[in-house]
Amino acid sequence: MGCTGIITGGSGGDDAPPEIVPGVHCDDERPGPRQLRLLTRAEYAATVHDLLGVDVDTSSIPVEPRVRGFDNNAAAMAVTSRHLDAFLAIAETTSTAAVKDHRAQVLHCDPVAADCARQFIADFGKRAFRRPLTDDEINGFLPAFQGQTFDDGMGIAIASMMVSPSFLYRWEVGISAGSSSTLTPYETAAALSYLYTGSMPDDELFAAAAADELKTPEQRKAQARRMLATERGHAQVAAFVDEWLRTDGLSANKDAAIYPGFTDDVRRAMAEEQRHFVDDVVFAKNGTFKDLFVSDQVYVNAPLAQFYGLPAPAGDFAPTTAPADSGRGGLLSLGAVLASHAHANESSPVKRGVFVRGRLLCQDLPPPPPTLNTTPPGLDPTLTTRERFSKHSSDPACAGCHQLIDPVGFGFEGFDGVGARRTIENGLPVDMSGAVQGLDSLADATKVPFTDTKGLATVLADSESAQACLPWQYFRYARGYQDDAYDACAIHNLQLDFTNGQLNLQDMFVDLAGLPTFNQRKAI
Amino acid sequence: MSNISRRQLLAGAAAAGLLLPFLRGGRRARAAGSPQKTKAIFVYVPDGCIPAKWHPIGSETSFTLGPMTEPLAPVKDHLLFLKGLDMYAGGATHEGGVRKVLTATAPQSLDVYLGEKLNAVDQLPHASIQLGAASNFQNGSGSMSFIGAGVEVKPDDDPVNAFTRIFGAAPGAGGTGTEDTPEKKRRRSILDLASADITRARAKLGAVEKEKLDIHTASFDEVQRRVSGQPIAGCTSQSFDLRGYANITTDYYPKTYEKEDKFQQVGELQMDIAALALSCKMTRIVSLMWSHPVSPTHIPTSGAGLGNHDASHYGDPNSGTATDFVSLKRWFMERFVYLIQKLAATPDPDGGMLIDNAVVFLCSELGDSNLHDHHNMPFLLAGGAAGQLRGGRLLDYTGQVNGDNQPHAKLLVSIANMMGVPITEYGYTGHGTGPLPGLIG
Repeated sequence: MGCTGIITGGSGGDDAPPEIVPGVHCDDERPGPRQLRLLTRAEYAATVHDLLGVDVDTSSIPVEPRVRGFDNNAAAMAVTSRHLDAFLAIAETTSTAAVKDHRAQVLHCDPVAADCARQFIADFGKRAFRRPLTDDEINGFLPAFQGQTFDDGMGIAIASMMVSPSFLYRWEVGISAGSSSTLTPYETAAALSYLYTGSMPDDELFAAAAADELKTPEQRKAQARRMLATERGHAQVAAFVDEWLRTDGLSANKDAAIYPGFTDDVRRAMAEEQRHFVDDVVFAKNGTFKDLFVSDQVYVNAPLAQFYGLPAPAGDFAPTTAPADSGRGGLLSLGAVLASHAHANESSPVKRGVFVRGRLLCQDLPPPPPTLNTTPPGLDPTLTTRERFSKHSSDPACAGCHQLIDPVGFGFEGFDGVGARRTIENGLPVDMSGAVQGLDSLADATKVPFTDTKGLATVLADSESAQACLPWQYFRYARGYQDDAYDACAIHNLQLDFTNGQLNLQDMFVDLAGLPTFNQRKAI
Repeated sequence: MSNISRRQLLAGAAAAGLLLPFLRGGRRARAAGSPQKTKAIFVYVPDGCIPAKWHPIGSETSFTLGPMTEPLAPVKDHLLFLKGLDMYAGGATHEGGVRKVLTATAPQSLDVYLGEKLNAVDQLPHASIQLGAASNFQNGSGSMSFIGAGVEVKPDDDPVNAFTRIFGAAPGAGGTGTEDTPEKKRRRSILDLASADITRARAKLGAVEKEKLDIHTASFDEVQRRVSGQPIAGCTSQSFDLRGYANITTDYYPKTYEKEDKFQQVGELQMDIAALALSCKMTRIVSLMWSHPVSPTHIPTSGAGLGNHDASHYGDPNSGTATDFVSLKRWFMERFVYLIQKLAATPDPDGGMLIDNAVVFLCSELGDSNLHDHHNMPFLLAGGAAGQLRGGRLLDYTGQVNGDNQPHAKLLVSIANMMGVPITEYGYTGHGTGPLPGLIG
């Protein structure tokens, strides 16, 4: 879909893709590709924190490329010399700090003992590589101690492990047998821990791996549920939602002359608002998919309340009921969503329409034809945005695609380019009505109408394609590759379980660990 | 999944096949120069242009610059303006444009490709260096350098970090850089152990993810070689002036080097670093991205109020938006003059000044910013390429291939040839292969 030049890395296959029967569980899940997944900067920092007790600055590590909005696509990330320079510099300072300030965390034998160097390499190495080391590997790191004090030797061993492929990459390689590979228990542990906590396995997960107790879906789901309940688990859900909604990196580049109220405080508060909202729905309320869209609660602090024109809250970001005419409540009215999908100087029905289609309905639309003049109509003080964009529907060259986009995006026109509420634009009343054409299939000409943002939210919350899109996006985030037709069975099962589970969100996150292909990869 | 049909074929794309392409100069240039001395610099500015206000008008040696290119007048004699080059195939608009501007749909970008090819022999500390000014900040469109199909090399936007990793010590850290310090010894020990571990990992993996590990190993080898290599006298960290710039650790989002009011200073420092790296033989290839496609950057000192991308949707060429776009482009051209003058004033390790041996390619990811097309691109070359380029010229490639513009892929071939890499094609070959006629010599 217009994604030329990107490595797909999907499941692929020489035989026919699996057949899907709606409403029926599919028995033909195909394993994904064997891959090495470079730690993202966030994963790297969390891992170093857990491993060594040291907090590092990752800004010298190159930014991850985004594939379908997600920063953890394995095929798109390669270790360039600049990566290694950064990893090496961080490893050098971190290893020194760890030996000096966190010695007890990394060393569990007495250096006087003859075997302590070897013991240290085995013990620390197991945590650093997230699996037991082989004898070859232990022998390979022993020279770190030659001609050094014990502490200096420790530092060199730690640093060299931190630039090893066994540390830098999450391995999803497994042991081959017949037509597929099965991830080792330790690879499975890391796959679980990075998905649900964004970091290396904890002691309990290591123990489960050692006891080979991550084989069955039930065992994996139990671990997933356990991790999801932790603070890190909550933060991981928030991080996924940021990437799903593409609200991470909420633009600070708004025209200050047009939007003087959009201060740094407001921008930061909007990020917090989204986090608190999602956390409340997913965890405190143990909520469903619909609860993400249909809500009358707002989560604001004083600056954000003032920006939205709401009464000041009793406590920062505590859930409070929004006034009925405020239009607030639910995902589509979050300031972060509205401001991220807009221009620097105006709202954008096109960006918001594309956001709904791409991020919420998983319907990727192609870009405009290369020779078409796509200049937006200039700001016109006598017209509303809707009126200015009317050429998209009147010009047949535009209407083909734009009838899918603009009528959806107009549903957000009650909020300006920085997410503030407006009922008047340029002296004219704002019209938030619209319709979603092709809701469940782009080829379907049926239009589902709505009168305002909340109406659009209800349409989406009730739609099968939106309900199917969230698990699909989560699958992409979890698997780290661009899915293709061969992944349809696994994705279908995740979607079906979501539907059968009354669209409970926590269950959906956990169910991913229960897929049979969670620990299966292709044989080659 | 979408079933909507997309682009329309260009009218007349396959028309008039009987017309012979008009070859300017008529000769396939065989370089009279010295390719082994050449250095290549790739400079990107965002969001295309207003073609009528960019491209000069006139004959090959007597032409008038447009409003957008007029600030280049002081260095005109070093420049070759290129008209009538199209980027064919690949993706559309901003994202497609930035992906192919240095690749022409080949898996690697030319800067990375040349770096690998040349450094296999030269063994300089860095195969190629990718620098940027706020090129990653809020970049949803991508970068121009690729190490493999779809695998980007992200530019380094932090001049302090860039300097430190290129030269091995922070600016002004002191020392001659030639001593074997305990830090260096420790680093070598670490790398020796890590190297053995990479070998073990590769043996274990066999064919699995081999390409990824090949890249990893090549990167590792470069880092290791750098640590063991001999530093060059006269190129020490003390001799670099940050001109008061410093990263403020409490700046989180945006970081100091991403802030709009630091944009010019950061860009100039990066150009200084590029010149120093080339003159110290740290590398022969540098690329620099000023911001990125769909650039949000505001540059008040240019006189424009709009951000670059907003201004690039210029609408009517006489509108206020277009005026802003022209002001912004002129600002970027003033920065390019800075680079050319810097190169003209910096000695080249192989003799003369850097500008004499450099080939500088100035590019953008779009042609006409209204249309988001890839026609008649705002491209130009600068430098003498060690005797292979003559400046002060306007070359027009419009309609030379059966009525179509020449493909920019041939320009990439020409640049490679000037660098001493005798390829005949690079990426796209749909409109013929070989270098651009009349360019070299």
